[in-house]
Amino acid sequence: MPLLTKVRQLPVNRWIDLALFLFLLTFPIWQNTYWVYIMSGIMAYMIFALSLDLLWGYTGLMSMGHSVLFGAGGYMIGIASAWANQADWIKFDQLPWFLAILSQPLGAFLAALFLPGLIALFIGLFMFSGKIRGVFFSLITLALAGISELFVINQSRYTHGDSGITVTSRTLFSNSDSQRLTDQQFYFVVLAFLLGSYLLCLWLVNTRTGKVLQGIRENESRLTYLGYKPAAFKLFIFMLSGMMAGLAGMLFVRVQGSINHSAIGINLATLVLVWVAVGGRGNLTGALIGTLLLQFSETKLNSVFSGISADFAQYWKLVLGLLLLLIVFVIPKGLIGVLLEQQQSRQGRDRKAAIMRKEVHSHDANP
Amino acid sequence: MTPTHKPADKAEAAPVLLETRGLSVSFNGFQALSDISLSIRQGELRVIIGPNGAGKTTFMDLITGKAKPTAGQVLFEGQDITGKSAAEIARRYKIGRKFQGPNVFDNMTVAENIELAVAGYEGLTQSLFFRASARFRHRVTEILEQIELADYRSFMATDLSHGQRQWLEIGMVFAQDPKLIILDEPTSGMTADETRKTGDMIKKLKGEHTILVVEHDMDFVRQVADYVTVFNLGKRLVEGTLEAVQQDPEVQAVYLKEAD
Ligand SMILES: Nc1ncnc2c1ncn2[C@@H]1O[C@H](COP(=O)(O)OP(=O)(O)O)[C@@H](O)[C@H]1O
Ligand SMILES: [Mg+2]
Repeated sequence: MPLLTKVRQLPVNRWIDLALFLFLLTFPIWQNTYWVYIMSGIMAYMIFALSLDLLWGYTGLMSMGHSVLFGAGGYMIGIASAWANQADWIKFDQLPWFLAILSQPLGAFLAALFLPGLIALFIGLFMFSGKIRGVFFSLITLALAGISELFVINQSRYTHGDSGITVTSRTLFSNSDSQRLTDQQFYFVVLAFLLGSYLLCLWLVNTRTGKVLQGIRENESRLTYLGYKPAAFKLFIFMLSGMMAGLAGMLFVRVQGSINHSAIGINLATLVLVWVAVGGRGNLTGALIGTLLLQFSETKLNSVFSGISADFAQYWKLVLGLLLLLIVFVIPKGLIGVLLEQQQSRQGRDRKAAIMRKEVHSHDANP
Repeated sequence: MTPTHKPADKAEAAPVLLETRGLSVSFNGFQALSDISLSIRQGELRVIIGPNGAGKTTFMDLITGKAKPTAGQVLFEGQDITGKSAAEIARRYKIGRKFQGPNVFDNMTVAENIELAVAGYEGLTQSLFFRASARFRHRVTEILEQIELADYRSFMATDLSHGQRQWLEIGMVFAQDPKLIILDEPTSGMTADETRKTGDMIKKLKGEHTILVVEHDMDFVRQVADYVTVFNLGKRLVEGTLEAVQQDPEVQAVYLKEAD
């Protein structure tokens, strides 16, 4: 196929991705430190949204408790940082064996990545071998988010309970307060991880494995009659998605400078579902754009309305809820989904017309 | 008992590929199949006919691992595959099945549907590092031509007509390169023209492949079948050449009753 045709047939959303990354790359040049800081947090959330899109958008597994994996990653960094800097609430003089790895800078990084992966493995083993699917998967994950939130509140010895943990080290590996990258520098660290995660997702969904995952979403039982074992694929994508969520949590905590139970609970689990639903599932772009639009609006509106009413956060949740209902009923495929649908139906019409022309020709040739 | 007619000489010489022995199944006390013994030789094209609810689909469920029999055995190439999982029966024993009514991956393209069905890359790591070779792409195109969908390769499966979706699923079964092809009512919902084309597709495979097909459409059966098994009320009624079966008084009684 000539390059030009190939480029023209590229799904429209890939151009949006390109524009988005160019925008993010130049963002710190023309924005002040405050917005660079805000955008760093949004980019960490974008990684989180991508991880849910792999699971929900591509594989059809709607996790309503994805925050468990995000929070698990975040708390690893939180605890490591509190320990490294001997936060005043720490009452133990040695990390327990199961957290010992957090005393090493690289150990905390790896724990934030692999603990969520392990959690996903265990949940997945239990769910996918027991053939739990559909709405039951969603409900169980939702319950897990609720339980996890209670769990971190109760384990205040290590998590500082309700108040959460302050994290002031903003580096990739080190947890010591004395080491700190500037907002600008850390922005590019997060951007690099976002780009890496995006490229990984883009590669994965176009492999044969990616097609099998979509096959699970479309018609799981049909796959078994083609000789596939869907459970193995579901476990794989759940673990990968979990690790990405953990990465997002780790980066977010470092940007934000704190973590508390809301990052592991139902609150964030619902937010990420809304981002992906509004942007559109199963095309990666929707997850990125949905997160950007909604988080950006929240910050912007917050700064406008907080002067008028202190309860803005409450109203915002109401707005999000209504928005979700609206999207589900009016454009269930999400914003990017609508764009893609338009392109596909245009291409479909062109192809049909081409087939018609061909048939007419073949009739002319042999009447 | 009804007379058992012998298949054609050529087929008789070939070894038995699939054999069921006293296969029975009941669902909550309802006996859906009782004591089905049947054997199909390599290279044979066997048609199963019978009224709705006779147990034809259930019989295929037992062979392909969708349901487990309450009694009896399924032997494939002499090996006992009774009660094995659907994935294992498809992958290891190479039995491919087209379901009643099109059962495809709707929001994926026609080519993606076929590609996913091509056998040999079902493992996780295999599929992760899979790269389509020229031979692979050629095979996909070949199948698309076989099922008359070459011009539709970039269409979403959901945008095809009902008949085309049936073909797509038939193509998926071909792509599996199975030792036994099972087709459950492949022409249901097709136009007369599509039905005839489907008959041609299947006749082209005759001899090279072993095919078990359930069909309702008598024109189609006449077009492809030489050896027929009739099911009724969960039992094997008779078996023989199409002409012989059509002359059987019991079969006539069943079909006359259905025509009422
Ligand atoms: N899983 C099942 N549970 C209960 N009844 C079933 C099940 N599968 C098939 N049956 C029953 O078995 C009978 C045979 O059905 P089926 O094999 O679909 O017939 P056919 O394909 O010949 O039309 C029907 O009465 C059907 O209701
Ligand atoms: Mg049937």
